[in-house]
Amino acid sequence: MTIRIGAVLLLASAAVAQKPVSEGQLPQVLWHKPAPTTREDWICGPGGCDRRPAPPFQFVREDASQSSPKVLVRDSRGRNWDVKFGSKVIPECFASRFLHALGYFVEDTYFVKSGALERVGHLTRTRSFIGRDGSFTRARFELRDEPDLVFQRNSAWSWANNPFAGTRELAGLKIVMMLLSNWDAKDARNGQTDANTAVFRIPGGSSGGPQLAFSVYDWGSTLGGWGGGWHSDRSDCAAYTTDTARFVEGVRDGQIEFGYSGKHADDLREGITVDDVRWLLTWLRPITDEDIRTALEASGATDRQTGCWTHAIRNRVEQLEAVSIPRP
Amino acid sequence: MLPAAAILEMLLLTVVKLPAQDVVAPDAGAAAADHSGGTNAAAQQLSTLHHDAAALPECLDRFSEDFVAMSNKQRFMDSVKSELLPENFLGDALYAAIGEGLDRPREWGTHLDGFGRRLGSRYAERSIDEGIEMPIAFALHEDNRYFRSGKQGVGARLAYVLESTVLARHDNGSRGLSVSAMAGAVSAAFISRAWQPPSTSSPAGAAISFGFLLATHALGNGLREFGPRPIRRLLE
Repeated sequence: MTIRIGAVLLLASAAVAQKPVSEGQLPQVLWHKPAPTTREDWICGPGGCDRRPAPPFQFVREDASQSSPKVLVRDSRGRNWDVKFGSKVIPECFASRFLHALGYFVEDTYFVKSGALERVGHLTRTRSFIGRDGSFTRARFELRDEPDLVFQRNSAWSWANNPFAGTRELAGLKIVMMLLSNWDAKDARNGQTDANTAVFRIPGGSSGGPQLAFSVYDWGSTLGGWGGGWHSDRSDCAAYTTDTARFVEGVRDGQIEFGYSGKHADDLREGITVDDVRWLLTWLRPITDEDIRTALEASGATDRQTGCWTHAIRNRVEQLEAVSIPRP
Repeated sequence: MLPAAAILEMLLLTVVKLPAQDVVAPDAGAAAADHSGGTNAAAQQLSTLHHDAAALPECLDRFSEDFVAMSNKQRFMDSVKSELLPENFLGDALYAAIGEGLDRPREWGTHLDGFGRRLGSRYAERSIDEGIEMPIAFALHEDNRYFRSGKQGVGARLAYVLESTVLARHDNGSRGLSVSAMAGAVSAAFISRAWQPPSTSSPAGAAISFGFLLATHALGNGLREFGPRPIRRLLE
């Protein structure tokens, strides 16, 4: 599994939230100062348009072991891709663009409106998404196996106990989790195979050597209702809109009260201060409605969905603004 | 009624001066009572934003373009909700009341006792319907949820309502005859003959019951498509 850090490598010397090297361990990073985004960033995401999946695609195998069925394919440039269909497509494509713009580490993720797989083998759980002729529509392609960007096995970390506890960058990531309604906050406590947190080895640290990038790598359970077991869903702008009305509930003793619920919700919503919000807003403010719309359209959202999600995301950011203004 | 802990907290807060920066939206519920001693600008701003969140009515409903395949867990939760939500019992009561009004089956009479039998019969029938529909839908990857059409014109929307009664979506969004819905309705209609009195226990009675089941599904879809928002929300 790989992640694309793009401009991160160039900005590594400016990396923040970097923990010192302990003996035998690489520097650990959670966030880097993001470069100003361009329209291409919002269309193509962290990998850029040059790294888009290149057809024709050759079927490698189906992976039905995870909660979301997927297939692994190889494109015409010999790169491997993890391909998902269904409810995680828009959320993962959009989140990768949004997180990248904020300086968090995410994988190269692209929306492919339609295509065909060659030499399709036996399918089980993905059969309903892939035609007998190999054709498919509305897929999420995520780049895999780039030699310079390496997923670290058994590296899941915990929201409650990690090297970045108490930093504004970790608080910022928690706010973004809630901002996008990512209710599936499984971490190391849920087991290494189920966790959605992981560490990636990336090159280009401040000393020029490799670093360990802490990341949330599954953003598929976003842009829907957070609501816990009964109501949680994904890619549902009606539910996302409904929950927006209770995104920020207020401030008490300098700490923000969020309406969010989800897995490990207490670890995410508690302890977020006004200063944490102010810090994150530094990176949220440059993001325009046009940027959000561009990213949503590039992620496969319809015109109506784009309008709804953009309105709701803007509303949530304004709620953060409302509680960040210093009061006498 | 407020929990004792909340009442105690409120009492304490009346004598403990809180930092002036406490900001709580007035509309945010019990946990968000304004402890700062008055509504401040930020709280008002938050409250306005909370109301603005729902300013676009087209964003509060699920339309056909919003369809995404449910996970197995979502399917299970959806089925449990469908079985237990109180609005379904209201629907059962309405169904029983119609039977009462039509005096069908006539052997059950039109008194409270008859209403109770019809209500129980309807609940059992619905449970069979959903109990058979759910595993078949699971196996065939059929999704029988209703999504608003998003179409223009009453005719087109009505056609969508009616076809949605017998069609299901597959994981990729394509629509086809809902084997699970049909199997559930047919099974419920025939199995429920077991406790029907003679006037409605024949195959013809089962056929009528099947028609009623489809009609109630169509009515529900019609309300989801054309009904006012509170009704649509109730039926979600």
